[in-house]
Amino acid sequence: MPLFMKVRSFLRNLFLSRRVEADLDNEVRSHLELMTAENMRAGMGPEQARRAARMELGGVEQVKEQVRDERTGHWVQSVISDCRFGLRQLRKNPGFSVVAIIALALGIGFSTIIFSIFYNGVLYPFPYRDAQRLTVIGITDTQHNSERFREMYHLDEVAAFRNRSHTFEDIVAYSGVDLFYLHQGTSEQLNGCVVTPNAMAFWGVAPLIGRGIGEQDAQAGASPVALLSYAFWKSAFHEDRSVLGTTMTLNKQDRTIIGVMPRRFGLYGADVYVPLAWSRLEPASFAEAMDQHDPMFFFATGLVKRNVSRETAAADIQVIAKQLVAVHARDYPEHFQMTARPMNEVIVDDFKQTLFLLIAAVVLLLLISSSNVASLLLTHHSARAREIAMRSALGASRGRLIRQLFVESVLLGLAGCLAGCLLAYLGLESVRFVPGINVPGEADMSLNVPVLIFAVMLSFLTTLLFGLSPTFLAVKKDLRTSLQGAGVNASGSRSGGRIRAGLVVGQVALSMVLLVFAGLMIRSFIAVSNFDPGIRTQGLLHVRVHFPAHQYDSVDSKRAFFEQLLPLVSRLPGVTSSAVSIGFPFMGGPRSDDVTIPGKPHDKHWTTSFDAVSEGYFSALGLQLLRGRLLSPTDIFGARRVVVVNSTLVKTFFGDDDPIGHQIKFNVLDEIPDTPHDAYFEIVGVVSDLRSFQREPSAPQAYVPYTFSAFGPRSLMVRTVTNPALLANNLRQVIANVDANTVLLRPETLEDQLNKLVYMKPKFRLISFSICAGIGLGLALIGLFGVMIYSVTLQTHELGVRMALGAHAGDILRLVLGKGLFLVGGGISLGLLTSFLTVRVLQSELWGVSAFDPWALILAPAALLATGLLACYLPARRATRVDPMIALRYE
Amino acid sequence: MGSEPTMLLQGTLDLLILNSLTAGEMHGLGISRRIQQITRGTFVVKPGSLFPALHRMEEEGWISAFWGDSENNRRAKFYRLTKAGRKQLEVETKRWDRISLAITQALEAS
Repeated sequence: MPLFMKVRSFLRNLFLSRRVEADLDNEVRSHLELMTAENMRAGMGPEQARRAARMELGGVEQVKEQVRDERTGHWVQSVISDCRFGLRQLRKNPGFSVVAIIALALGIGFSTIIFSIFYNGVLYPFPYRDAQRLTVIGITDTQHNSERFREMYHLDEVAAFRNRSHTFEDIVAYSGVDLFYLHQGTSEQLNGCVVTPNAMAFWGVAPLIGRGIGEQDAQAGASPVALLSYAFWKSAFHEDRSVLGTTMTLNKQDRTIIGVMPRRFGLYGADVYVPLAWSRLEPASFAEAMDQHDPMFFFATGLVKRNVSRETAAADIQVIAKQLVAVHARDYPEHFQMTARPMNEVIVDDFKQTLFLLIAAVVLLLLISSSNVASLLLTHHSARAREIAMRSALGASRGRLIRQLFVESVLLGLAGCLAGCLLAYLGLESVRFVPGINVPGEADMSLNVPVLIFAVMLSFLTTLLFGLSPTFLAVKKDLRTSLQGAGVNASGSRSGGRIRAGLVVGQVALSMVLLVFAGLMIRSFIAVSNFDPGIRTQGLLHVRVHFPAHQYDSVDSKRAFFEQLLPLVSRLPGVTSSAVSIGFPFMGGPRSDDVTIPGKPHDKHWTTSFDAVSEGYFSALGLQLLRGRLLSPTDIFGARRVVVVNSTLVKTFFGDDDPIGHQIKFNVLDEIPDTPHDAYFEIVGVVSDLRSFQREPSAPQAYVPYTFSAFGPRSLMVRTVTNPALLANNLRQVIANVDANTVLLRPETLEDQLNKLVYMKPKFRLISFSICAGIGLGLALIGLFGVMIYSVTLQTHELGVRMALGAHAGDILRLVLGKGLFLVGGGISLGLLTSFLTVRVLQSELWGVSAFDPWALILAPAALLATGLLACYLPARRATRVDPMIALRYE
Repeated sequence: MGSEPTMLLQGTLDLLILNSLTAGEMHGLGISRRIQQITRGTFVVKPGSLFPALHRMEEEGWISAFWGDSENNRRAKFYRLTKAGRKQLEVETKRWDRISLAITQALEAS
């Protein structure tokens, strides 16, 4: 094969194409002339001779095109020209191209953004390596069906799990510990976390600066070290890198700072991490453990080996646990089952449900955007049927036409997908700037690549498939009908029209489902935003007071402390009320598994929470008195056995009876040492409930005078009208004046605490779901509007004919609107049916609204109907106003 | 001209064109008519097949083209065999002989 010749031809065809073309044209022309001359010599007249020659040739352009197909490098040229032509086509119909690209971009971009946010923010909100394989080891009491009997273990138990199991790559033990940080003469309590020396490798997060904790730090005689969290490093050391190597005094021991973890690493929400040897000797008693800040119990988190199921892992641990019963008999129930649960399932309660909903939402969104593009392409191509027929008449082979359409679709798809990727990237980059979205603690909002690929593939394939639709519909059709026929006629008489009608119905149905879901989500969001917890959360500062060890152990000493402190606090500027308590609203406090009420025998356990408070508690929180009276200063001062209960307690334990004057005993108190046993409290008043943000209903709650016992920690609630941050400093001073050895723990407003601990997750979820719903809603409406308006516009010609034949504007409007109503109505019915069948799965994500919320179920169809009809009406009205002659020529 | 000219076998067109050009340089119509003549009307080469074949063979280097005057003084594009073309003709002829022999034997055998 003379390669040289080939290359020469290739280059010539590519770069001297004009000369090559002219040559070809001349040749075919001269051939025609030669044939004509030949025919004339055979005795034909000139006209007849030319005609016969043309017949034999069979079309100048077709012959030329066939020659072109044979040329070397022909495909390069034709692809280039196809691309050029495709671009010209897209530019020629800017409305169509822009709408299609936007539809693609929105679909890809938003589905990816939403999935990424959810995946990283709700489903896997950790920075740890192999988060999917992280497993929490738990014990289920099978006899009493208590699912989470225990999730913390003695260190030797965790060590046994780690050493004897075959299904785990590694297991780590960690636990929280109070660390008292002594600096500049004051003591501050920090949240510490003791970790086994394998922890750093286990979590797989590299320190930001310095080094992590290693085996050498846990060996006997190793110098004590501390690893800081980013947040603590920032607040205490202002990101000063020179703290590395310096020492800090924690629990009276000097520890060298070896490193700082990155911002995202927030294991146990700790400020400081300290190492713990696997071989550590356990404290002799719980009291000793508390005293020495040396935890008895640890969480056990493992990394299951690849391709090992959690069932297998649980069975593996079960064997080891059975052996451990001999050592720790008291810590195992009689019949138990070890569990191995995914870490995110433990943290994200309804993980699977949310994941399922998320995937469904994203697929729905993608389907809607894809069907937008599909309908657009179908409509666009049926408008081009005449052009395609023309090109085919001018010598374009079927393959050539398919390739042309293919190139056009690829160009369109590429543009849309690129725009979509860009949107996804920019969108995620800007998520953190959106006000109201508080990305939960450790989460990292990175792009979810598999979903992006899925979205791009789906959108691209849709574009390709429907871009090639004329191949099945128009190209194979008889040329003559296409050329003779109205050409542009979008009424439902063709197969393309039927497919399009089906798409409209399907799209309306999908949009309907999404709209109902969106409506419910947005209604939930509004309900959450207006949530009334039953108390005023603003301006309420909450601090825990930490007493030095072995001091303030008695009732009297605690009482003396607060009797001195509270008047000082209430005299601080801006303070309107203040109180002492054990627990903290919404975060729980002491609980009694059962109560005894004389005259009210019961079989089941009557569980109630209770708190020991001072008289200012009710006004500080803003609880309302419903019956009887509140605790009075004399009740508190005299430590009288009186109690104020909430209305749920009354409803649960007393029904319609009047509780005032009844005696109640909190059975748990009998088990607490140094607390009056067999203590009955007289109910003197009923107050309003605290409404829990969680879905569960309010729980029974009782309030007794704090002066009756010394048990439990003590918190201070201060309501202020001034800036709570300023108040915190004053409080610290006041407390130091009473006793400089007490420590104040992180003053925080109740609102901030609620935001961080309670609201954040549901709020984040709802915001994301609502945004998803809102975007879907927008996409659905825009898509429907675009498709309807375009397909009616295509009927302008037909409508013109009708007008010319004497139809009234009213008839035309009725015709178009009727057709639109039929399609939209069909879609709405289908969508409503689907919504009714599927809406139940949403129930657990909803808040404050029923799944069959009438507003969502009425407004969604109304919005769709209005959009659909408006989209029919506008072009139809325009069509009726156009001069029929223009309409007839209109294309 | 037969009313149903035989379909050309794949690859035979090249052989027929090369063969007709052994008689000397010729324009497209001439080649077409010559093939019709020497096959006694069995093969009629339509312009739609002829020109693509000619251009492909030119790119292969088997034939070369030049513009000249036809027998009745009209401008026409003429083709002539090149050295590579003669060699190709030999190859094609041998191949054809092999095929036709094989097919004849096959038909006789049955």
